[in-house]
Amino acid sequence: MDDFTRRLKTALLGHPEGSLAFLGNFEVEERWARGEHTLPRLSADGGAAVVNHMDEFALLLASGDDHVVLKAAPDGDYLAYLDGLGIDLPTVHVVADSDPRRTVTADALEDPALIARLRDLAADGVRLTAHGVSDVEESLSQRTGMPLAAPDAVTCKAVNSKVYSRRAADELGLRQPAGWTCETVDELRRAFAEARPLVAAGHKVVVKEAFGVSGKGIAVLESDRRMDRLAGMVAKAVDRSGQPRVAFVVEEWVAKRSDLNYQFTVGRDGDVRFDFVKELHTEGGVHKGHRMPARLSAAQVAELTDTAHRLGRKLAADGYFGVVGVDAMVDPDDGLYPVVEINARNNMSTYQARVQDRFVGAGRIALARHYPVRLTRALPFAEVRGLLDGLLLDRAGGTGLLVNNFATVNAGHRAGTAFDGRLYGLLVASSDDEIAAVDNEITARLEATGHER
Amino acid sequence: MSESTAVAPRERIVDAITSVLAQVLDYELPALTEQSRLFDELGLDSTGVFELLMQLEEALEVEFDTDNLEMAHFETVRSLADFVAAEMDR
Repeated sequence: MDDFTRRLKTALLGHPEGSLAFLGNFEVEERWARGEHTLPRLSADGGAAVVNHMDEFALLLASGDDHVVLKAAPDGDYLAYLDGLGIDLPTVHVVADSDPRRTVTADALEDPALIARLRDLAADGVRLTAHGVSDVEESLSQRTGMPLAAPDAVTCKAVNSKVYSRRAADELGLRQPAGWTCETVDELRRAFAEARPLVAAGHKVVVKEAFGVSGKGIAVLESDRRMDRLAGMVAKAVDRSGQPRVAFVVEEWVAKRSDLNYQFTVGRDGDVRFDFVKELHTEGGVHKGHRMPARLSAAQVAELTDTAHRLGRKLAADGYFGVVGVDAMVDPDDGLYPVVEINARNNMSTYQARVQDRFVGAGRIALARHYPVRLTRALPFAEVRGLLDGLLLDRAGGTGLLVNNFATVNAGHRAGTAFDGRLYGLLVASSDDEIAAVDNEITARLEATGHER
Repeated sequence: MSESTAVAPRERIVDAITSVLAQVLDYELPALTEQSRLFDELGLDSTGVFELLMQLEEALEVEFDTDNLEMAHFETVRSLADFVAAEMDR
């Protein structure tokens, strides 16, 4: 069966048959940003436990002959539910000591028994693959003797910089909002100076950290004062650190009709394959999830496919292979901004690809989203299954919610205190109205029990 | 007289926090007290924090030292007012 995971293996290993060990180290950007100058931020951020437990998404990307390292053992009833859908599940290896503040890779590095097991698997030919590769994943590869089926961390970090995205788009002549790349404080000040007329004319201009997580590490340059203040803060941080290199982009915030996310895969041999495009679904201006397929014309899809091949060739020439997600936008006149940001790592959409192949066939649509829940105790999957009776997807061709991560529901659980979790899933149906109806019913049932926030 | 000058700065800070929060969060806020929790209750996020600080600086004509920002400063309206007051005394 030509499913996404076989295509992924062909790209990463050169053939579709090998066995991989998956690490879902979400928000690897935080690691790439180490040592970089950032915009002022808080020293501790809530929500790390939920993000780190997003590692469970890897269960649905791996296939039966693969391995997945996880921070926590999946709920047994959840595994039975996935098995009941006919999904061939990988072998799961759970870390001995899971720290909510650590990624799964950092947890694995502290577990000698797991390292020994991975060493045995490496001897059997299993190769390591990660959400994105940083120095931490390289350390695990070294400690276990399991080679990474990926480029080195330096290459991965370099091509994930927003500075790289802008330069690649410039080099390839791809349309992008007005903007500047800044690698020194002087370049930042120059960019602000050139942005001043735009700001004065009432345009929205933002500065973004080159290694910021999507939606974070962004500041709006509302006024001259704001620009002076920001440039001053960065200059001060540079002086104090003695590290003169900075990495920011300054960009005009352009009007758009919708946001898109598309994915392609670059093989070790430089072969590029366009995988899919999804549309961000918003309601009342609030981002609710990804709709697949995206509502685009054939010409728009052709433009994105062509862009993917050109970006893929450039990334291959710069030493990258593997999954690449690109954020793009449709402007109010249906024109495309085909590259807003390159994410040369797995994306949330990557983990949906395999089940999408199987459960979102021709004539079907899906909305990938999450339901925020506020809990006072751990919520077992069996209870959720009972609560959402009749609303969960139970077979290919059916309608309902396919839960694709359950670890994030209880990730924040601490005895005696309320905590926030997320129930992630793919709503599959045959029309938008049908999706909205199931979506509303799920929200209502979660609310009725006090679970939905 | 001494009483009113001692109270007024705190009120000015809390008023500024309330009006800036409404602008940054961009929705109809409930009535705020000093106990109102910025992240849990009002939905402030880490990106909003920077915007909040910049607007507070502008409203109160002060410059904060942003090197040592801590989550605890942003827990409630009260903790933020304490942080702002300390910065204004610096």
